[in-house]
Amino acid sequence: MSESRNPEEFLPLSDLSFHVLLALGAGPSHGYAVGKEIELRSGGRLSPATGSLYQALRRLHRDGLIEESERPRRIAVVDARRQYFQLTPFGRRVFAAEVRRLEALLAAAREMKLVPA
Amino acid sequence: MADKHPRTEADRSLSKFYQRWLRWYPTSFRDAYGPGMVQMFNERYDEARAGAHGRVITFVVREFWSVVITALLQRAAATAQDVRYTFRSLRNNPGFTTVAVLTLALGIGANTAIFSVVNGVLLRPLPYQDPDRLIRIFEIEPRGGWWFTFSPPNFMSLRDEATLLDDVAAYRETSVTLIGEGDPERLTALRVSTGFFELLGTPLQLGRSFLPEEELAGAAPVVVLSHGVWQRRFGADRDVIGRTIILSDVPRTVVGVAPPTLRFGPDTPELWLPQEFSVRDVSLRGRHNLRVLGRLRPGVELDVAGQELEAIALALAEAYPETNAGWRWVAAPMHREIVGGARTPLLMLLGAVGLVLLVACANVANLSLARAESRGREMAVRAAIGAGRTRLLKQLLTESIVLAILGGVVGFGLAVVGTEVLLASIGSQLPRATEVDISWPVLLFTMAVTLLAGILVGLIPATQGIRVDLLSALKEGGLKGLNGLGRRRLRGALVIAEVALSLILVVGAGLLLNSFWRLANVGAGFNQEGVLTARVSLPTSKYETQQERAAFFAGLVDEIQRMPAVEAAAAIEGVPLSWFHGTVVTLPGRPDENYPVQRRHLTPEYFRAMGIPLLAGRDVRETDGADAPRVIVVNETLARRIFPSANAVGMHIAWDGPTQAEDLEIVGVVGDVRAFGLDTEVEPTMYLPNPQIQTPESMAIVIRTAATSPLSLVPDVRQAVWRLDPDLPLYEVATMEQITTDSLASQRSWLLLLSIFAGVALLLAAVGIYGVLSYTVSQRTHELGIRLAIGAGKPNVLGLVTRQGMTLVVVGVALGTAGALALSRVLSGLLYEVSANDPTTFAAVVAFIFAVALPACYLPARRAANVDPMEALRYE
Repeated sequence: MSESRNPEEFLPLSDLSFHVLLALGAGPSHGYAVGKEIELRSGGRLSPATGSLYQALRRLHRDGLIEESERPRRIAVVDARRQYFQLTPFGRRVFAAEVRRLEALLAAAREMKLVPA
Repeated sequence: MADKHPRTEADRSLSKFYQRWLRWYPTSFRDAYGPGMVQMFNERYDEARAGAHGRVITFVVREFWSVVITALLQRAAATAQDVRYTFRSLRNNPGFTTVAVLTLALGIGANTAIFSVVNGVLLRPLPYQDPDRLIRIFEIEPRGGWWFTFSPPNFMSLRDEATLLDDVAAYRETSVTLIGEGDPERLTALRVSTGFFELLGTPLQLGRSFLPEEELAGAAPVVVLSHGVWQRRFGADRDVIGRTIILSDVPRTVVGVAPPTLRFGPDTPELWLPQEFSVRDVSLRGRHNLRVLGRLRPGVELDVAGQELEAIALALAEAYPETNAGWRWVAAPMHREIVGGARTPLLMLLGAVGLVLLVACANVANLSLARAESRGREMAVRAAIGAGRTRLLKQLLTESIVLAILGGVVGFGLAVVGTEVLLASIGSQLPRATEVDISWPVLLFTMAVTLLAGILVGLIPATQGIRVDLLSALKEGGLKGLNGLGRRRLRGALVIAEVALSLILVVGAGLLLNSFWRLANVGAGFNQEGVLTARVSLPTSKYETQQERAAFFAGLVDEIQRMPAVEAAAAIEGVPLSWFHGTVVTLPGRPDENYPVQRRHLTPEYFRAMGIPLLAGRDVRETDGADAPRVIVVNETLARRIFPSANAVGMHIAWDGPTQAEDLEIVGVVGDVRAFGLDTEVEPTMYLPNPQIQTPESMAIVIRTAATSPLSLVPDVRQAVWRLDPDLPLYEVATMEQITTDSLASQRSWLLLLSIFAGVALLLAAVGIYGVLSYTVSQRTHELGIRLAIGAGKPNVLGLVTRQGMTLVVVGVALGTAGALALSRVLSGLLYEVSANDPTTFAAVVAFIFAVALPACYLPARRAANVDPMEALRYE
């Protein structure tokens, strides 16, 4: 996969996509765990059903932001059916670009005194 | 994770069901993510089970629903991709795309046009309230079993005694002259009984309908205007109610205006009048002149109501044996009465365009097959990168459906125009032609036909296109070799099918043509060239007695005979091919033997004017006046039927006339004339001189002229009429030639349409043959070059290719002939003196097909024979 693609092309990330990448940030994970993490982080706002989550996973997978990973060795439970995903380097760059974009927006909001500093 | 609640059998079943539910997704997705999803579902399910019971149900529903939605979205996205790809592919192949789209457009458009007519005429309910409850009621005459109209007293008995009908109404066509609001104009009118508009369920837009007392003569005369007349002659003036207008010398008060949506009969009347039954009308149980409508009571079925009608008729037969003995009553659904005659030809046309569509689809499928061969490499590459069989199939089907949709859009446009053209040409032959338009059912039909065409066109080549031998395809850059034979066979089969289907259509057209030619050449019995006819109608208020009317017509004929260029002139109550006036006669002293005959009142010289030969005796003369002995002239058929062994001249027949029993002496016998249509039987007819017994209120003037255009006499004839009475318009002006031609109009129309469809199908089939052979020749250039090089002469190669083509044609003709023999009986109702399996027609059609197919075979063959052997050997 060529790395000459521009991460900016994938911005802005959708709400769910962002959370998926966030959840995978700590390391490889499987569908159920990603779903729980998203629910936690969004304070219950996002609670994707299996189908919706996998739709997002597929899109990220197809676009090369995530990939399937071998079962990470640090997880002791052997489960043949769990499907593990992890961020690709490109995915990390895209995520970082999105964070920078959000930070710029936040800074602008602070500058206009719309939110407390 | 500790499992507080162990899994039950139900839980496991649910899990399995979820796995199967994933079939909503495309295979590729399922393969990639299925197991992961099942696992995630199980884990989340366990979590949900631990909570409230209600939460589990919500969870499960949400999960299953999310699968459906996301799966459909994915499939849609895949299809969108296919469609984009298809458009690109079609754009790169403009030749193929144009031909395919136009061919499909032709097939789909023709189907849509015909269906819009079928929908408007046959399928749509009549434009009245609850139209399936409306019925027509007839009296059945005991001797011939003819379905007759009602007599006024019988109608009133029906109205009084029928309990199973909500209401009945009677109507009668007539026409009146409007004077005083501009030029005198003849307007069509319908005399209707009380409650007519209410029975149909169409309220008037202004004013009121007729009151019961207005139904009787002697009431203040009233009239209801049609919307058309109200706009045209009265400027849509809303104050028209209460105005008085003069119709046929009778001042009438306008009491109402009908809505524009009220349509009745083939030509909606321009005026509505009340029945105005006179005392005399009400006493004549034997005079049948009313058409009757009825509405079934809610919940009452037709056969039950029919039984009640039979009972009433029987009771009347007992009460009034002289007029009603043996007469029965019958009811039939109004819809069938109106459209019945058009059903067969319309359905035949629908079948015909269906065949045209099949031929069009076969042609496009053939084109696709040819194209598939050159796309072999592309297919192989796609297969190599992992597109599954189903995926490729879907791609091919998408392409054919996109083609069909493009064809459908263009075809729909063609149909809109085509329907207009159709109605312009055959609209006068069709009942309810004014109700034909492009509406929802037609749109849905177009979409269904388009989809069908797309599937047909896609499926046929698809069955061949999928079995891809990757290696050979990539090497040779095309799908030769392995699948070549199968594909060639399929293309040949398609051509055979096209030939067979078009043969069926051409046979149909040929049979109709044969029938039409016979009909057109059937002797009408009169000389139709150079004869002008026009009608004059005398208002009874001005010409009350028979004497006055007879004097008028005699005087008019006299005036006209004095005109230059007039060879002969006369008046008759109705000209051939257009008039029905039946009655019954008996032989003196033998009142039990009844002979149904046609009667016509006329003036002298009619037979000379019309060119009908006088076979025996003499014509009626001026001396056959009111006080002279009653005489008649009869036609050959009557003479033969009633007096088979003797000369009819001098014989007498007895007739129950309008005022008294009459004894009539036959003074002449004339040639037969077809009274109603060229394809109907000749009726025995008696001709009665005007001054005797009765003179009709309206008569047709018949003028034989040497002038090249009989219509040039019309202004002079009009002047002649106005010299006698300035308030009388001349109407129904036509030449007998026109009338004769018009009587064939419907047969001509069906013939024309079917011929067009047959021609299109045959042309498509010929193009198909040409295409297949051309392609074969180009594929076999190398081989043909070798043949030529080793000494096989040009004729040899010519013969080879031509034979190949003609083999296909022969098989197609054989199959088509079998099909035509089976299907042609559908036409037998429309054929005149031609059998549905007429051998001459079949033979001619087969010869015609071969004649058309031969050039289609020959042209590619000639190209093959002119191949330069050196070029061909180098090719490859």
